[in-house]
Amino acid sequence: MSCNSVKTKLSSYVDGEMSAAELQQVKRHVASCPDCYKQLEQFRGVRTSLRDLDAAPEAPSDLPDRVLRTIKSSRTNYFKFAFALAVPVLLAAMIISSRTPKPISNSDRDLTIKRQLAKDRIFDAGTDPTSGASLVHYTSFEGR
Amino acid sequence: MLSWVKNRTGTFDRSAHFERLMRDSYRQAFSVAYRLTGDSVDAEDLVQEAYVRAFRFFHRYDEKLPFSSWMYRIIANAHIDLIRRRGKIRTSSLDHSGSDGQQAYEVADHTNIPGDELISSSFSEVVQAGLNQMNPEFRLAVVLADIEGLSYEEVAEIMETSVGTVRSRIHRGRVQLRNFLLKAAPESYGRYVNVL
Ligand SMILES: [Zn+2]
Repeated sequence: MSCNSVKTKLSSYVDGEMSAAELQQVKRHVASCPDCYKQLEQFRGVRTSLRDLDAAPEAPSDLPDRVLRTIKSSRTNYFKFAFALAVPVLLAAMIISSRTPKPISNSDRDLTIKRQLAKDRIFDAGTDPTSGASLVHYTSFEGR
Repeated sequence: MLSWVKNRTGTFDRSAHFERLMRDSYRQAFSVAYRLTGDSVDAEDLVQEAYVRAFRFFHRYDEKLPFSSWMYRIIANAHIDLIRRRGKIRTSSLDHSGSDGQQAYEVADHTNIPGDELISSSFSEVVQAGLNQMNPEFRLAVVLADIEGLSYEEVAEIMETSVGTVRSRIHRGRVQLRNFLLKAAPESYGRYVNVL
């Protein structure tokens, strides 16, 4: 095993997180390599310094209650938000639907055609003021 | 306390179950959050945020994983988000913008204490300062393995990665911490090492 290969394994070695065969290989190498042995000791030192850390400060005992309050208020806020969002959305939907043409029923359709024909008749009654010829009416009314 | 969402059938109360798990785990969660942030106030915010998230996604919690492990995972994600947020604030206000995310991390992560400021600190404080300087992913792996005493496999499960990746993160984290301690507190650190 090369020094480079051993050096990347020193942490796992210190933690005993490797196969028995690998463990033996690293053990043999560090026994005969002062440089790798020095590094091994440094990693052991890092690990011990972490294990010996003074205890972390105590968690405040009212922390769970505060979390529960936050959850509760965030739920209420969620509903408030949903309501605040729903109002303009509903309004917009109402406006849009009032603008969209409704499907035309048969009786409506007959009535519209009658109206259009009446309009055409009025229009056709006139003559072109420049030529005197009676007006030709091109209709684009799709309902006919 | 969470009776407002109480199950009417009374067969299984999700909220009460969550509350019980939280009361059993919050001390441990706070301790991990403290090691990750290096600050009590930040740790409190982090734990609070993590439990709120946990409650929101509690239906996804798989009981095969210990609840504390699931919480560590959420804390870790919330911590990364916190660092990113702070990174953005710092980089935009101080124009420390690094071209890569890595630099933004380092700028954002506080307690970049130079060695001479650490003279009056206890060795524990120096070690914590070293943790604060560590890459967040390495830091989480090191905290879980070395301080919480979890196995590489358990750490891998929490970090949702392979044991090989955990191995490498722990090692690289320890390299960073060793280099920091050699600079910041060679004497105290030397007491832990046979050959320096
Ligand atoms: Zn060697």
